[in-house]
Amino acid sequence: MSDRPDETELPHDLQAALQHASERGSEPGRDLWPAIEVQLRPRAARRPFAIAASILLALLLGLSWRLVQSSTGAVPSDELAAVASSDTELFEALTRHRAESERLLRLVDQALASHPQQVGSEVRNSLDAMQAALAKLEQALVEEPGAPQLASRLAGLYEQHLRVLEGLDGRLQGRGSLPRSDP
Amino acid sequence: MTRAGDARLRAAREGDTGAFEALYRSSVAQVYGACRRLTRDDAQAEDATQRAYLRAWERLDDYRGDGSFTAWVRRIAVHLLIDERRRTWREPLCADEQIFEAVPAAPRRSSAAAVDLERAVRSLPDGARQVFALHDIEGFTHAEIAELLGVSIGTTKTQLFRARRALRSWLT
Repeated sequence: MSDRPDETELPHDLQAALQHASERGSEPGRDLWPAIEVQLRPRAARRPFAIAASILLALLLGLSWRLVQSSTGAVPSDELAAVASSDTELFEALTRHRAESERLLRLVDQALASHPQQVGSEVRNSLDAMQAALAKLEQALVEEPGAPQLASRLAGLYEQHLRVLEGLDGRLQGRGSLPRSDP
Repeated sequence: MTRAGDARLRAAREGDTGAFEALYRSSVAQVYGACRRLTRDDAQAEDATQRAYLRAWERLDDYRGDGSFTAWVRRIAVHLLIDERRRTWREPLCADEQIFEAVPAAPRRSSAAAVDLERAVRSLPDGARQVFALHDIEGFTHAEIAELLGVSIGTTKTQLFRARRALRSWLT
């Protein structure tokens, strides 16, 4: 196709008028702001949670569908401990996770009391999803203790889960992060 | 952006809805005007305008300030509107053959030239109007328009040629 169509420029006065009309715009027939305002979600409080939660969720859900779909419900702690005892890295991560996650979850829960209900719901839903995904991976490990690299992946996820909880707590409390106490 | 505009933007990024409302008030006419040139349906233009500001609020951190805030929201609105129409329209957005078969009577020029110009643009058939608005007003390239509307670059050039020719004949 030739370039002929583009050569039909508008006269300068029309271009100028068009520019003027474009800059002036036209007001909507009604005020749209009230409908926009009621749908605005809190920015400062919401984004860090969404980002932190989505990072861990993506990591967790990125594992194979077979692992994620393998079971539901929490693994009895003695069964998991028995499996983990043969893997030093996993056993240490599991021990630390058990000691820290409960404490951090309590702190997050307390801090959420001073935030809007919507923020609390978002955070709790994300945390519940993380817990559920972790539980499924734990179950998968119990069922297939010899699955390649599963133990080290789970150990890494325990650590990441703790970091997310620390970050959440720190942000909820209005500081960068929360120092983790040694078990 | 002015110093006051910068301050409002910073405040809005911190979650200040009052500052965001000020940004909205200063830009909505241009954003809505852009939508209205792309669709004759005022309700659809209003809906796209609202959604554009909601998306802008969600993505304020993505706005780098390399163009005006208004231009940024306008572009969001245009994309939303075109996406919406692509989802709901079954036929091509601007087939060559449809164009100018039913051109309405030419709007007359008067002392309120800008108003007449807007009216003339809105009088163009859908395909020509959209290509003209996207290219000559919103600054999209032919390649971008072709991708947005799902047509060939040749079609967008033809539509633009015809739209300009009609406007020239109506308004000069």
